[in-house]
Amino acid sequence: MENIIIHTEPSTPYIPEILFDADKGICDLSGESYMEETYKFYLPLIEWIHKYFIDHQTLVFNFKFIYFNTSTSRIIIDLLVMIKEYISKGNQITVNWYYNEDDPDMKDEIQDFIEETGINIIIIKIN
Amino acid sequence: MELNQTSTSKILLSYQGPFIIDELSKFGFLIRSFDFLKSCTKHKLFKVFIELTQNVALYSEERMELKSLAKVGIGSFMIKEYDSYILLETNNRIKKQHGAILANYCIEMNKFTVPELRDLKACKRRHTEEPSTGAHIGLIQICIMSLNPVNYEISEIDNISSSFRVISKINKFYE
Repeated sequence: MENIIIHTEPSTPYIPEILFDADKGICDLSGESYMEETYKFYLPLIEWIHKYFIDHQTLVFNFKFIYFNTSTSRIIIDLLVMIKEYISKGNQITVNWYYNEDDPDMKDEIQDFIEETGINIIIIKIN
Repeated sequence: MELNQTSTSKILLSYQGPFIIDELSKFGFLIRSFDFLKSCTKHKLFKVFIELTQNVALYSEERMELKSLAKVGIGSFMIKEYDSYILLETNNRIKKQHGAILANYCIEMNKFTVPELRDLKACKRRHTEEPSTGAHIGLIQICIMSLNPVNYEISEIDNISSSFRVISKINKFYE
């Protein structure tokens, strides 16, 4: 299964850094996300996750967003609901969310995601 | 929201034209380099800026076709610095019949506390479609981010269009 690797470029800071690695069983999402066609960007990532769980049972998500807009937050909700469904089917999925201690807004967002989806997110504060 | 328009202000940034994402991100970079503002203030300003301007890009009735054949909204924004706060305003054309709906959104949102706004955002976020006027969840987020009610002005342009001016206030000295 192919990995997804997307690097943030200086000319497109609104595209996040993505590493979806099937061999290591990790999905890293970091940087900023406020592109215009949000669904178009995230659809391949969602499809990758569906394909991954055909042959795998364990996955770790590491969210390290610095900023995301409301369109992205909708996709994140969809993603977390999907992850929760896979957990309910017996898969082992860990969701870590790293946030900067100088960004209380991000902590509030994470708390809202937990409340809205009922999923367990491990919140990790970084300097 | 009280706006003391008589106090001295300084225009930090202003723009009128198509709200293309590449240009908005450059403006965003400029905002983050406002080193005369505390870190927390300029990061809040950046977040509100992106939400407000992307609303214009998505929902302005005045649109421009790009080379990619995508259409982007046209409008204007201005960032003004006052002694104790920053004002960020956008202006764009809307359908005349949307004016009352948008005014109602703003009036309703301004009644809520931040926790209530977060609940409202959660409710709206789960709906897959934006209302016909667009922009609702973005405006809620702006109120949450700025910690202030949103100010607005709707003015008639002609029989079919109005202008929609949104002003967000970001207090300085969050830290």
